[in-house]
Amino acid sequence: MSKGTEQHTYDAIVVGSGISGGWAAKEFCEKGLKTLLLERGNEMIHPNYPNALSAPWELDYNNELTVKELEDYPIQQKAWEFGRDNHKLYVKDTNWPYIQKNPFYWFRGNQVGGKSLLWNRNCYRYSELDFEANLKDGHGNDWPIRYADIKPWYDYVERFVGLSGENCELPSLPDQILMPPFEMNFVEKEVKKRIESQYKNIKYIQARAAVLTQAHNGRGPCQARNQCRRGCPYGGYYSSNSGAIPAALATGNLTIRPHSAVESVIFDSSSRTAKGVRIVDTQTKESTEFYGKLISINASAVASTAILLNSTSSDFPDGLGNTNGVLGHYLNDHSDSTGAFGIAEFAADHYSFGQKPNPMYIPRFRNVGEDKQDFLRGYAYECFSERKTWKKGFGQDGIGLDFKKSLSEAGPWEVGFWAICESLPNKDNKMTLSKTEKDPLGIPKIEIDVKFDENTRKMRIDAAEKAKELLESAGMKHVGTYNEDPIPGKTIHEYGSARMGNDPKESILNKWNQIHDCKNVIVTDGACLPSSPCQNPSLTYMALTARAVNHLIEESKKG
Amino acid sequence: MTRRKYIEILLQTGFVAALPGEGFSKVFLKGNSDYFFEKTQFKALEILCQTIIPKSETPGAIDAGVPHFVDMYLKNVVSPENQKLFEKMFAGYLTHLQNLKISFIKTSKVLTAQMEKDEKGEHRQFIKGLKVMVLKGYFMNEKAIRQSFQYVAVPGNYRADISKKELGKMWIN
Repeated sequence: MSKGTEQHTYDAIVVGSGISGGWAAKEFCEKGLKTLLLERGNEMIHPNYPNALSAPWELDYNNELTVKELEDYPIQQKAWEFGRDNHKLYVKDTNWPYIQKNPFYWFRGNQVGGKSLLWNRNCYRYSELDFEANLKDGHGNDWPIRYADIKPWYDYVERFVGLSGENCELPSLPDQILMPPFEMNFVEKEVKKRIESQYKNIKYIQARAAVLTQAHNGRGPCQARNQCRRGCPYGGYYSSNSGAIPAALATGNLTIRPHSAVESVIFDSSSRTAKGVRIVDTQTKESTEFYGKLISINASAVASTAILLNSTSSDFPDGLGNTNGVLGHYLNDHSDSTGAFGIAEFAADHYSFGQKPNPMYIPRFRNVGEDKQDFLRGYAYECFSERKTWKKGFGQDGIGLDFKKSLSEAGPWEVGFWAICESLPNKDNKMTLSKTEKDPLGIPKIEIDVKFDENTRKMRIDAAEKAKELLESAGMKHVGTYNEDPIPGKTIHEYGSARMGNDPKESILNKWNQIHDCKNVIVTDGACLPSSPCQNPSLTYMALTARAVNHLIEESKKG
Repeated sequence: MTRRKYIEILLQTGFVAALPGEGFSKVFLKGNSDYFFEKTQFKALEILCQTIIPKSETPGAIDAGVPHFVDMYLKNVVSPENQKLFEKMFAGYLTHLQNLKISFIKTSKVLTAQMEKDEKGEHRQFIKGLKVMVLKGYFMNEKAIRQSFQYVAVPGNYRADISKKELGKMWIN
């Protein structure tokens, strides 16, 4: 081995440093492997997040971007919490363009830590109901694992991450390792009483989130600042930056290389294994190769799949492991933006101080137990309640002193139920690589062709109507529904484009997340899911990652 | 609030539908490319802003720099299409006030009453749109925020259910 090659050789390579990549790096490093963590975006070191402590008067245009600035972010500006304060945590779309065959919002982080600085932090386990769903209703391939396979890894991850929230002993939503949640506000206490007393099959619980109500592993607790979207310098919520990456660095085994866009995986035909990755430095545009015995692809569902599709060779002319043509198919997302809202007039004399980051949560109850609907699978609600201050003035009539005075007073308690709906696996939904167009780094542009189906349409209508019924049952006034035209990608839970499965003819990855035909490469982000139950998925990515990495290491020791 | 949200508000409030036809006087033509408004327009804007948020024990809109914010916001954050809409509606509203012979020399009870009336009438969309910008400008002024609310950047803990007396001023950060 030449000196140059030696300098570029590690025991393990991790592609992407977000919620799953951070875990891959941590597990490799803690098992003693010299690990290279490649990140396309910028360096970002906890706790130095831009604007984390900026006051409102320090953010121009009341935290908005100018028309000129937004030209770089035609997609990212549609993200749920995009603003001047955190826009640098998103990629510039102009730097990483893609082709939408149908509308698809692809949101991407722009730094070490990826979207783990931008997630909404809700963490739920999948249940046996979820792992069996594909097999039972015939949509998608059978999951190659069941709850018992992943339960120890959920335990393992939760102990490190630190979750707060409420358990509720539902078979469809397994209990978790939780620290106590923040106290419920008055509205939440009342709504809980009123809903749970009227609906025996519905629970209204404190959301389970990677938010610390107690100090944990040197992080937190949460300071109730309501500024999570900027990155938390207190480590009040879990991110790769505050959790897994510092743990990996502490071993002395981790090398982080930002500004590194992985172009492809290098396959060695003689050993039938991958020997490394080829990157393009986003600053110098130079191409470089890095070598490693074990490789974990964690670039996020779309980007990971694109890397595999672009990893062509005489053995895999259609992409690494893609001997069956499945790679890129079944890409999908949750759909949201359907639900209802109302006013809790009964709580006008009750106030709170600070902001509780965990909302409330209604676990899936549709098509569970005795409930049967004219659609398959189900949805959960994230449930919010807040009192606005000056922003209520946008819709309020009034001019002059009385109007001005009212702006510093609390508005009514606004209560909203926001559904997150499962989408069925669908082969027609797919991503491919353009044969003619390349991005500014010279890598083929990604083409995305995803649409929601009739099942989603029916589910969304039910979610809005049921939310209205529940809010009215709980005593809300002025209840209204909403059901926006859903755009795939908007929920940022994209999944399925390199799915796991027992059958190599219909899946890309085996039950240990290894590529069937190249077993020293694992994929453990959203790409690997055969289906995406309505629970927020990040906890499952982390658990699958820890499980897969540890198996990969054990297997490699056996030779 | 993103630009998209702002546009949504304009659409929701019927800004587009409320476009006035004629009445765009030459006096409103812009003269300086660094600013959205020309001098005469800006004076009128100041009076409208101060009428919406007058001075009291807390700063008024002018003290809080709101007219300047609205000028920069329109120039840099609002899309060219919506800039044109605003210009036309602004001109239309000033023409409306001039026709009523309402003085622009200073804010007055007369102007306040007229704007209250117009907010419920055919100029509702213009006044609503202006108010959105006025509020955004006012509530990014440090003095206005600190005097209107209990500004606590790092609460440290969450108090879930307290009385107004226990809370005092509303919390903001």
